Amino acid sequence: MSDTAPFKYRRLPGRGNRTRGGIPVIAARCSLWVGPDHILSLDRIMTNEEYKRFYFRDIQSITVQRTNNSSAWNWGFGSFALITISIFAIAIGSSNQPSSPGPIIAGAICTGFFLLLLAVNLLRGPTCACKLRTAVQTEPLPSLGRVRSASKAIAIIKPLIEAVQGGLSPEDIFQGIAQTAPDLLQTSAASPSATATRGAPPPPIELPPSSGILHTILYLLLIVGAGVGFYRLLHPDGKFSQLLAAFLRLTLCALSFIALIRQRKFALSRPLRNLTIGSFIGLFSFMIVLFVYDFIANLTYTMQHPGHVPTRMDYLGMPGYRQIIVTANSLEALAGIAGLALTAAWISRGRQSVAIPPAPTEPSDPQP
Amino acid sequence: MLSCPRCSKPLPEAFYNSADLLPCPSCHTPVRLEVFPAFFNPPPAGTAGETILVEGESSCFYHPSKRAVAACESCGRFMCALCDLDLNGQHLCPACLETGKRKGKLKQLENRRVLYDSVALTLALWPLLIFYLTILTAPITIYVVIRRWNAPTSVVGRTRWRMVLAAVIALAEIVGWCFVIFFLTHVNQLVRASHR
Repeated sequence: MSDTAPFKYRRLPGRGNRTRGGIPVIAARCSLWVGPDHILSLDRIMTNEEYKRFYFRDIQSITVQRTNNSSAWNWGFGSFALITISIFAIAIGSSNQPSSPGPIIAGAICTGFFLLLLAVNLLRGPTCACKLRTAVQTEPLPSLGRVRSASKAIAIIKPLIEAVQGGLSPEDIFQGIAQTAPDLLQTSAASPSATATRGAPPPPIELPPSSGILHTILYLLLIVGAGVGFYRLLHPDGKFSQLLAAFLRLTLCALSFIALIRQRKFALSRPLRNLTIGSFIGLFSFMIVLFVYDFIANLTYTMQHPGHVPTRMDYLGMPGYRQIIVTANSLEALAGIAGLALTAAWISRGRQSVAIPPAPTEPSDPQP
Repeated sequence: MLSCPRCSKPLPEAFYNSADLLPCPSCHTPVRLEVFPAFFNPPPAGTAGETILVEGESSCFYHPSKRAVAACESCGRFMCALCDLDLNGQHLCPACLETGKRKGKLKQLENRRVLYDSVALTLALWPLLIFYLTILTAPITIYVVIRRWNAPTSVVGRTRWRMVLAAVIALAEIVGWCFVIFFLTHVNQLVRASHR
């Protein structure tokens, strides 16, 4: 029984974890390696290694599906950074020795840790789920968990597989589909331009029209929020208005986020879409600006007045605070009025469905 | 047909080998498909052994009524088309394939390995957290290093630095324990001498 000649495996980009029985603690570290005639999937669990070989002649397809995990992690890390900085800001502001460098350094380290994770996640790019299919199995490839690494790996594997199996032209694909699933081609084959459009991008996607109710509520609340903001400038000590403003702020953030998700799946006029995106960015930017201002102002005030916590009246007396509030509320009111007008126009035009061209969302690396 | 991994709806032909992530027409999830000729070519059907018609023809070792088509490259037994197992151009009989897999002689079929270099390093390093354990684990590490020095490492190949490092750490632990034991007994003797 002769053994095969020794050869050197070449590692493919990417790494990932494969959980066993849904328990992350005993997750296997996965990697992909290229051999002379096969791809080796290697799972390392502590001191054991498990191998699966996929021979080039058997590989039928590789599927890459973009996932939202990266965005979820970004939100998570961003939120943790905000929460950490706010906790430390409150702690420093309410302490008797706010000028002490210890808490500031600790806060900077904790926030910096989450910001670093956020930066790393952003740099690694969007996530994806990759699957390799043969005649008898469909195997997930956790190591190709990022679109960038999946594209790089496919760019390496594809020529090797094609060297064994040969290439596929658009005509071959068309014929292959015609033999295996003629139903799918019935619609396109009926049209005279079927041959001409072979290999062309897929047809535009028809989005169902949005009712516009969510956007109407969002923009109405923006106007109400701006009104409450102006009222608070005139009556800074009102407890009810303070609670109402905080509630409105949270509601607006949540609503704008939901509206952003909803408008991806339903048709809306382009200006309305853009205004919603702008409102979302504006709301969060305002919160961040105010948060940073609060942090600095609180620190400065407590340094100047040891043992005192600044009230809203003190804040309003600080340089630039009133201007920030007035600008933000004015912009909120303007966005609300414009949004209501655009939503009304959209509804009055009969809420037409919109065809979205299927532009590539994530350009892959050029093929070799 | 290939379908969307998320909504399981079949994807149109424009998605095949598109080189870009394209939104699924049904669920809008960006998908990329790389398809190869094996997808459209059905796998070759298995062949059954042919029955011997002429007397004196060589027959299969496992199926005496079937005509032999090849000899096993490991044991030399004649095999019919059914028993002829092709393993990357190597013709093997079922028994040799099973034996080769069990004994690890067929690297292509090896699907699991214990990395003894990692075992040794784990044994040398982790007990340092509870230092007293090293009095037991250090000799075990040395035993693993000596016993498994020639054991195969990862299939993808890696050097033996883990083994060397584990041996060095384990030896250091043993030397440390010897020193501690010597020091304790020596001090004890000195204390007793001073009491006298």
